[in-house]
Amino acid sequence: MNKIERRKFLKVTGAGVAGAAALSALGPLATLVTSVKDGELHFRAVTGLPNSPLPAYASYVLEGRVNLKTKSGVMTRSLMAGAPDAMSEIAFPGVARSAAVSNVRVTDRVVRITGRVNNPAQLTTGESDLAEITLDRSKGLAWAQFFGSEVTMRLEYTEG
Amino acid sequence: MADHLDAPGLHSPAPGGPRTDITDIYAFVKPGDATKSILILNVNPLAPTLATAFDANAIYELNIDTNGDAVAERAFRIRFSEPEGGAQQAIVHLAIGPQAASANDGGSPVIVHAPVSFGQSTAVTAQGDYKFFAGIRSDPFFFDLLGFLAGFKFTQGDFFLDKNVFSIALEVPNVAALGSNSKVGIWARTLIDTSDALVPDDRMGRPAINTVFNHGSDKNTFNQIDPAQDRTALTAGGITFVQSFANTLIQLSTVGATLGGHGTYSADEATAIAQILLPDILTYDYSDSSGFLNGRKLTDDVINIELGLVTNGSSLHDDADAHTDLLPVFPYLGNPH
Repeated sequence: MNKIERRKFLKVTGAGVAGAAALSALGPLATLVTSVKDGELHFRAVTGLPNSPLPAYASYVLEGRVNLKTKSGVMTRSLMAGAPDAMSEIAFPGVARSAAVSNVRVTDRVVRITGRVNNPAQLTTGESDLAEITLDRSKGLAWAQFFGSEVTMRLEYTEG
Repeated sequence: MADHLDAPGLHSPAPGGPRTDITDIYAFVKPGDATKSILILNVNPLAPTLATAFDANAIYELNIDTNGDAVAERAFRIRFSEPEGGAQQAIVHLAIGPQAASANDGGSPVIVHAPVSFGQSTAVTAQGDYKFFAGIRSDPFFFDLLGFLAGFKFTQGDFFLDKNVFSIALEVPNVAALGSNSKVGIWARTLIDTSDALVPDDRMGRPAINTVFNHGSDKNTFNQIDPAQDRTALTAGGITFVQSFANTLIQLSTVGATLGGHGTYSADEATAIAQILLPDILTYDYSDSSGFLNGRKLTDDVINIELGLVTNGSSLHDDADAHTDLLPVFPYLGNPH
């Protein structure tokens, strides 16, 4: 993203100068958090698994394109080999899911998105078909489930 | 994982890639015949997704230390022909003495013209007192990997239940192949034959050593050094691998204390355990048919044993069990999925 796009992005998301400074303090991954264009939110959230204090061996990636007006869109999840700072292109087989967004709730800068997994046949024993993620755009963080455990993720910006 | 994808970022080690990426090794007394042993070297995780054949430019080694000096006195060296028309052949050499200790392609042939199995059938080659198999097989490793990634919430079952590997299996006469001292040490190594040299690629003794205890570029270093260097070589941080392992044991046992373990290891305790784990060699007494830590059988639950170790005695265990697709006869590995 070039400087002009970044400025436009900050204006659109309402972050402003103070917000941008606060986000910058979170580090490079969180400086540009989400993209909203024409009411459509694009996000990418990443965390290393297992979570700290254990060393991470894999990267859990959630991505989405959500229309905030129509409360529709799609979310995908994948598990990539390697920690986020050394993520490989090898995806763990049998873990990727795609979900259709069924509801979106926006409170201030927190967005809670729920959906249902598109292909229930992919689900493992005991795995819910509910897909849910909570984005806190002011903190640059997200929270989601990974096979029964809540994980905290860092938000990354993705182009629309 | 045992040794699957043990380079940084969960990649296959370089320069070999998945074809020479060791996943596991096994050593156990042949069922029904205590005069022979079964040695298995598995490579190519998630086969055939990442690679569809053995590497014709590689040497696949099973090294045997017969006197406890962490240096190979015997080495089985397996090489493969170039894949041609969906077929490959293998040749197995046995090197003894100084020839086994150094990286070279020497040794006397014990198996020649052995076909590789790329399908469900098992083409076993028997020559002299040796039997040999190479080909795609069900991965016998079992572990609730997703439960581990979820923070030790072991509810997802065996991630490897439907995965395959490329297997190399040898049935060998104990004394003639492994030496008269029944207590030996075994490790596997893959080397890539470049035009200039044999370059070390991957190495494995006990399961989940490089994958769990080493971090970042230390994983590559560990793959490239010899077991005899394991206690003296330095990590990227400038400490020995023994010290680094001890630090990881302290870290993991601290987590284990919250899971029913006996508490954080002291520095002395952690160092003592690290010195047992290093050099990374699978100890095996062929006069004893018990399993891991004496050798390793296909059904040994090595992960649960090691979970207890790294968490300092917690009862933590995953819910993955030994695979039931194993064959009752050589090469014992289950049919591919």
